[in-house]
Amino acid sequence: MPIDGGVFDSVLNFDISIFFKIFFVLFLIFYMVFAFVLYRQLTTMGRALPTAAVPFFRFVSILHIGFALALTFVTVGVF
Amino acid sequence: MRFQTQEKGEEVILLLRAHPITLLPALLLIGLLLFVPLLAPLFLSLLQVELLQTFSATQLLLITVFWYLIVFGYFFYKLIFYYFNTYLLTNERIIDFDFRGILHKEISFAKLNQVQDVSPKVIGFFGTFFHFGNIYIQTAAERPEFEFHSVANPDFVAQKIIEEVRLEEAEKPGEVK
Repeated sequence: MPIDGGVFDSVLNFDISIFFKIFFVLFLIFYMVFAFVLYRQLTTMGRALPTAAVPFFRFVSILHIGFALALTFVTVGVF
Repeated sequence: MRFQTQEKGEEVILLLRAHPITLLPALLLIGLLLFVPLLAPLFLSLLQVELLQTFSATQLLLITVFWYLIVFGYFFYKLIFYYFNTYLLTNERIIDFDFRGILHKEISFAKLNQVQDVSPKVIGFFGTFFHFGNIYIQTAAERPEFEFHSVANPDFVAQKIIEEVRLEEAEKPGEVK
């Protein structure tokens, strides 16, 4: 009597790319937290030592967070 | 320039950071990391792993962009910690701005009239060749020793600190010059 392949077929045909997708999205979420914490630390540093470069660093830091966020959404869509 | 906790009449005489050469190991590592997306496919093909069979071209592009984002994040982290870890000599105090890691901020200061001893030290080949070193400052403050790490021209900086200490000792109590 042939084994009904329904359940086994589902497991064997499971798309491994879903694991990569979960991994990358999780990593990007953690990276966004890192980028945000870096921004907060930069703000603290800039308050302690306000130099001419602080606005530029803050701008780059915000871009950094934005880029990480954008990459997360693109990753969710592409993978 | 101005800084947080600056007092009235207080002026910055020296703003010191570690010598830029101290960034060299991090820059070399970043330089190496930049080439990983180029070298990794070659290495993986030697192990019989073909990336194009596992991921589409778009996915590979995303992975590469993701890698460079991490490298940029590391570079930016190193840069801002180098830039903001500073030592100040003012006409009233010595101040150490210490940011050791994420969410770690430590600002220590000692009044010049509490400074007891200043010792510059240049150690090693790189220190001698690029003329940078450490300055150890003994104080009667809450923090008994300040260390200015890897600053350029430590002899000149030590001499400047001693000069300012002498000027501060010559002032009347409460006087700010």
